[in-house]
Amino acid sequence: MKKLPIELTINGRAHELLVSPKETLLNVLRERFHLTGAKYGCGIGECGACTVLLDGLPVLSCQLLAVMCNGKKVVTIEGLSPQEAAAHPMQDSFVEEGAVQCGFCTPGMVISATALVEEKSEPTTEDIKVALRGNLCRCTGYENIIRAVKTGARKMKEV
Amino acid sequence: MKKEFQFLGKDFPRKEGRARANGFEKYPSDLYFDNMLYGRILRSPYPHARIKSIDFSEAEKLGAVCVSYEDAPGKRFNLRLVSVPKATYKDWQLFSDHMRQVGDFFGAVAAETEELAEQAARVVKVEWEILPAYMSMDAALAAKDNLIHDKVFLEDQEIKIKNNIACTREVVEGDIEAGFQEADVIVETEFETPRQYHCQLEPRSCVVRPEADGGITVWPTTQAVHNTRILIGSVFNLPLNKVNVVRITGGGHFGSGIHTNPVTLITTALALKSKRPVKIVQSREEDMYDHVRYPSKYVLKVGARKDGTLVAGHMRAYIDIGCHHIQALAYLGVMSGFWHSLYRMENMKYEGTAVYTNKVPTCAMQGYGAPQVTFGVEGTMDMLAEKLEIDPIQLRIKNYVGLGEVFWGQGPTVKSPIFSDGVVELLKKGAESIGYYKRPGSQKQTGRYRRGIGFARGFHTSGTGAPVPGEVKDYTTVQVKVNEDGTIDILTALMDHGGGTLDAAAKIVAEEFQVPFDKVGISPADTRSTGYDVCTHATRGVYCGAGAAHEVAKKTKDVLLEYAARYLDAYPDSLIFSYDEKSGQTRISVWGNPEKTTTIAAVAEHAMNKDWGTAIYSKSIRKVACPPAYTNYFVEVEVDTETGHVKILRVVAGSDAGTVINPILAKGQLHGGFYRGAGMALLENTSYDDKTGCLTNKGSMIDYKMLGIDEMPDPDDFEVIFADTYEPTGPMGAKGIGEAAFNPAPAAVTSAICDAIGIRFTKLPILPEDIMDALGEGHDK
Amino acid sequence: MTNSHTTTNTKLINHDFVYHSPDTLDDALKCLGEPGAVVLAGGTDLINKLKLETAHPSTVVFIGDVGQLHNFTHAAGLSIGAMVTMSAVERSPVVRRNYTCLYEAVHSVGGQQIRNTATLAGNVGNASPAADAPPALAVLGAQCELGMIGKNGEIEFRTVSVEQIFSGPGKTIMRPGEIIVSITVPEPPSACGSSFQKNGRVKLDVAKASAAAFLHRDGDTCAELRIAAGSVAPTMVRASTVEQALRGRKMSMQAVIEASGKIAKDIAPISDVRSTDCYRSRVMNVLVRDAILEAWKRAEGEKLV
Repeated sequence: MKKLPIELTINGRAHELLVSPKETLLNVLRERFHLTGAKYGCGIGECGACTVLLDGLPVLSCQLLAVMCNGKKVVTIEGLSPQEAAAHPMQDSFVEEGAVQCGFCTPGMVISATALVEEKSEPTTEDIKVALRGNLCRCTGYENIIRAVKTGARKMKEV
Repeated sequence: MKKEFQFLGKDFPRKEGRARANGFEKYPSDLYFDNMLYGRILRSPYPHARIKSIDFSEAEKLGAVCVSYEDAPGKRFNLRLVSVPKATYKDWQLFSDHMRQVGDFFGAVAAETEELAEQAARVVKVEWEILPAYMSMDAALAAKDNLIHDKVFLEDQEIKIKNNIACTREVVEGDIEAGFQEADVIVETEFETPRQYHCQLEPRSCVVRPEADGGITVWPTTQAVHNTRILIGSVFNLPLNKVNVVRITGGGHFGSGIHTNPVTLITTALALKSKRPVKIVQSREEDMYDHVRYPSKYVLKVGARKDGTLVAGHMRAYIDIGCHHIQALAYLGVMSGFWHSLYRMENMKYEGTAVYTNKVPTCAMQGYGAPQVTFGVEGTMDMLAEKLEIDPIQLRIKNYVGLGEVFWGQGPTVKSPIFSDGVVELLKKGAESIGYYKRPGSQKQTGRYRRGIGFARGFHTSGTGAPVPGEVKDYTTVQVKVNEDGTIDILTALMDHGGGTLDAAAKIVAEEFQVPFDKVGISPADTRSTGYDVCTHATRGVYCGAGAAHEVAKKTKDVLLEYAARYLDAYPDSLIFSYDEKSGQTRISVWGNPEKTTTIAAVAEHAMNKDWGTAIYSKSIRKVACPPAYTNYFVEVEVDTETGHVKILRVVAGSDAGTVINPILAKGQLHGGFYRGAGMALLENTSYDDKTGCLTNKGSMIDYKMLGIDEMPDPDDFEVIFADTYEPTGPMGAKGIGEAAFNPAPAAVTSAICDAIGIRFTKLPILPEDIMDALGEGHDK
Repeated sequence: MTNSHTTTNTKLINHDFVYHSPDTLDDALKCLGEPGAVVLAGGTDLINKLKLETAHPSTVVFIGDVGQLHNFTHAAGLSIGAMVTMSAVERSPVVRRNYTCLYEAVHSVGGQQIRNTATLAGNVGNASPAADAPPALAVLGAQCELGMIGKNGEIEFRTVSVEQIFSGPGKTIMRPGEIIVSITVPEPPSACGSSFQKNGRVKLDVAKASAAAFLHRDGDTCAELRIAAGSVAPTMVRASTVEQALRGRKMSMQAVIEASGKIAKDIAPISDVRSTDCYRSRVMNVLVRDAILEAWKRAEGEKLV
């Protein structure tokens, strides 16, 4: 299958790459760039573990071909904080509020939560449910996650 | 009796939290090595078949490395090594030519890319002999030949299988005939619980890398690094010092990693043959065909006297274990154990039969057999309360097995006394908080939406420790050392599934040394550098695992005390540890002599420079009790009588975990346990197409539905009450919590629905379709 | 001998195809004219079909680079280009206020991530009997503008109502090479209201049953009523029996209950992995009734007794 050239900006850095049209964005991020924060949990758009930002909007990277993203900006969980050891206030809030158990869903959750708060600086519980509905967690039962998003919103306001 | 703790009971950010929230934590499916091959498992499209021949030639032309029964040792084993050999049934092989489920594995291929491996897998050609499939217990039990397993091995003894019965178990106490004679009221009901799927978010995966010395390093999704190592060594005839299994975070287990997953053995086979690193990440569909919870179908008959005393009980259970034995014998025992330990009964008889069918093999899932049993027992208690006109809570209080009594733990061979008990406190507080005595009841309600309040109680053992050795192994090896700057390292193969087990160990050690939490580290662990730990399961992580860390820490402290005594020219027994918040230092001082004081850091550094040595200690610790961690849930639901939908409005969780080490994580366990338990009650199940043997949901999460963020009550409507108890045999008074957080949840939700609409469901899950059917026909049960 | 392969592998797409990403409608339709070509818009349906191997196109034509297909206007009716996402439709205050059932239908699709890439046109074109947008679009009188390259090499347009476009589960009356170019929705007059009701296992779910109602009020009479049902027949269906029972009548709770009780005549639900035919019938009654009541309220009618 013929490979096609595309341009992708990933976490602020522009890349030119050759991809097969059938490669998903998720697989390109994980296999080419070893950006393993976005996860394979189901492959069919049900679990949200592969959530990344595409031109600022949360999307499921397992539901996009890399070629469809030509010329666009991708931000993964790794790109949410400027350095490895530093943390985005939403990431810290998830840890503080006990919203991280096994952690597999966490990157996707944090991406969706951060995008929500950038749009609604004081989200209600209902806003949070709508925004995070597409991110499944098998561990926490969601209660601490809802708290974490509210705490994260408060912290993001302070920054 | 509560003690004042410096660090316990306070929340600190969990140690691996930041790595997970930042996306830097690596899970097995995230590992990439140079020269790595990707594997794809070959699976049967038929529920029951024999392979006559395999042709790999097309796959090999694509450059794939191939393995099958043609190059496998063929010995029989059990994937789970928690039980001792004489209680371990062995019916697995790597690989078999006898396929026993759709998706059963018979080989694998590995290639340079995932895509190439996929293509190679598709061109492997197989000659099949189709056999009759048994998609129900009835069909399986009626079979005389073409059995799913002809023979299995119990330790080394060959056992012939008849009628597809994997094993049976009978437990008798007293005389139930006599007991039932004495009963004023008898309730007999058939209960059924579903084939719930763990649906852990990371599919079971493994990476194996061959090493230069002929050994291998293994990164599996697992709860049991040492058992995985021992099994690999046994199956592939490798000496254990050449097999290194690394502890790596998994994306959720819930019991699916207690046994070594087939993917781990298959990846090993490919790595050994290709002599290159190999990675296999199962697809979600494969994962759904890989493991599932034990379902249950049982008749429970219980008799009670007028005053509410239980006098006799008889449980006859049939368990459809799917196509392989992982821990069915232990499971049957556990059912009897949990039943016996919920409420006192002088006379009881338990009869359990585990039946093979051509379905996904069953394995433990949070709670093991307790949720299944608690569902029926709590429903029965509610029915008895109704017939006897006794307050359901009083009936529990009268009969529950508690403080001072000896309980069975997980089965008749694990008996230990109970030293702490918060049951009454939690029942009373929970009832008060939710308004149990003002519950609506179904009689007077009209209108579309009906509300109800119900409850259920239960427990889980904190591990499987006992005074005498039993059917399962249980111990943990820990090493604790003081570093040259006074910080501490803990080395152990104990795992943390996300609940905070390792954090608890660190906190307990921190408390023992009065050293701040972030100065106590959990070292990376693998099987080469650590002594044996049986597995992190059975809610043993804190009580047994962190408990072991505590015992060892005390010994390490003794070594340090000896150095400190030398340093201060005093006696070890006169030295006190104290944390000085201002300087951030931990001081060691002499009683009554405040001028004789130093810091742990100074002592450790001095000991190094004077060549006295490192303050270090390592030991295997076994707990000789498995104290019950009690929980109860009070739940308020709203049933829409026009659609059958059940909304969970409020939950009041009561938890007796002894000393609560990490409050926010402990609450998280209750939220999560309740969520999965309510899912079992309302939604979750896997079923089969009888003709094809395939899962009706085709292995897709689109049709394996779980409660979502919308279905859980708002955080302010989920209250958690911790009992004020202290477990004297536990580290700093702690017990476990994990599975206790699940066990009573399905029964509690069912009880609330009964209060709302007057229908007591005895089969789970309770779907809206079932509620509408029951309402339509004006059913009582 | 047979191939061993059994379970699907949603980690990747196995099937090879030729990929085009034209930037004009003309080029796109020319590519789509090739035999075995399929259209790719948001991807949330096609990519799953490729992974689950229920589609094996030789050519995939991505229309995301065709500028005009992103147009979304709402003056005097809605005009929604084929690449307009569900999210864009959902966020439009005009849609929410004046075409409420469409807002509700789109809002109920998946999580926000899906809606950020999935297109409204794709939800129609994919033609799942359980799709959420079609019943809402149908009662609003929505039309699909279809385009393809004709025999003369020029683009041929034609208009088909959303109601008429479906021919079976997963099937439309579109010819090979023909796609939805845009969807238009006429501006409703005043004194109108609409509602979309969905029943699933949980909130994030494919519909077990769904109902959309559009109502035009004239005083206390139901002047016009359009009802569509989803997930209870091989395609979305208009509930004409229910409509007839209420159209032109004076509104009352009794009248609504009687009318919605007739829904069984208009639907043919099945039992499948998600639900039973019996339950779907029962619940449709409730959904239709609730959709009518809600639509009436939104048409600023008095709450019915």
